[in-house]
Amino acid sequence: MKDYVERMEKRYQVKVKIVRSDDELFTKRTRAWLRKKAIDTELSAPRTQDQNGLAERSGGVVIAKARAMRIGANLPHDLWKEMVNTAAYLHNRTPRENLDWKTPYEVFYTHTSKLSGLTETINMLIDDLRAYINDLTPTRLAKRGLGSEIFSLANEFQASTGVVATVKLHEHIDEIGADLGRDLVQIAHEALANVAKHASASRVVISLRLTAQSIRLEVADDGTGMAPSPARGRGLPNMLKRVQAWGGKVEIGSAHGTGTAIRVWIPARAGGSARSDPTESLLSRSTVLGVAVSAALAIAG
Amino acid sequence: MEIHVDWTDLEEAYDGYVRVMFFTDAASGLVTPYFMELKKKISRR
Repeated sequence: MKDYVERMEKRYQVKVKIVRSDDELFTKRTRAWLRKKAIDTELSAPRTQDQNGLAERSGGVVIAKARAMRIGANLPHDLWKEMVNTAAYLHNRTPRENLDWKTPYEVFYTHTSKLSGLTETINMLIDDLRAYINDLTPTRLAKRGLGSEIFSLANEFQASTGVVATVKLHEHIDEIGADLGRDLVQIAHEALANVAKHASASRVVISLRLTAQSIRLEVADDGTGMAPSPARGRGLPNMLKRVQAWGGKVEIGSAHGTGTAIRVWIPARAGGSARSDPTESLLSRSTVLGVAVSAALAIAG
Repeated sequence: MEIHVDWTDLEEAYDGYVRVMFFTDAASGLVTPYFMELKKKISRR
């Protein structure tokens, strides 16, 4: 199982998400490993192979074919391994009606080559977004407005990934200062990059609220959820550094199969206590925190 | 990717294998057999 799953990931960039089998396969150890890999398990009743859709009776068909070949060729039983290999080869290269008269081999390799292309597209998108963000200066942000920048980010993300992006903005968010606004856009960008790379989501909602007490940014998707393993890459650590520089906190809500929500809280006073006094505290604080943010960005590379 | 796993136990082959596990991709029906000895070695093809 481990060999097959890792081969699919490394060679074809395809992630196994669901394993269906009868109960005997799912020992405690296998279940633990599958859980760690964030792979769902689904039970099928023993000896009812027709529960398995296109995979129906595949093992049984290959075994029957191998047996017929062996008997037809009058070969001894202990050569069954060679017969099974040959039968599987023929099975994979035989056109099937339910595949529009294509072979399983053809359908599988067409699909995986498309996915490999998709991975490249996503990586290019992330590079484009990084370039976009790096170009996002506080001056430009102040000119265009925070709301407009977040809409642009969401539109670009949706156009490139096909994931439907919805933006929900509180009416006062343009009162947030340009320095903090730039960091919020960067945080949203990191969160969206994670969605594109890992979530297999179909929808994502970006919401930004400003209250008297706090600024709250949330990026929630309906994807596979995060595996309970240490985060790889620099996205989340970068995000955390940016938030901490403003005295805020990050919460990640994720359950396997129900999507992920990244929530960021930043004290309103850091963003200028915008509802009560939009400029004074932001201007005084941004000067001080600008140094801290620059340091955090330098560390993040 | 969704896969279906099933297996069959057979009499010992000339090279010691006793079980074949089939990993089938649900979308395409592509079957990959893995062969197993007595709880030791696993061989693909």
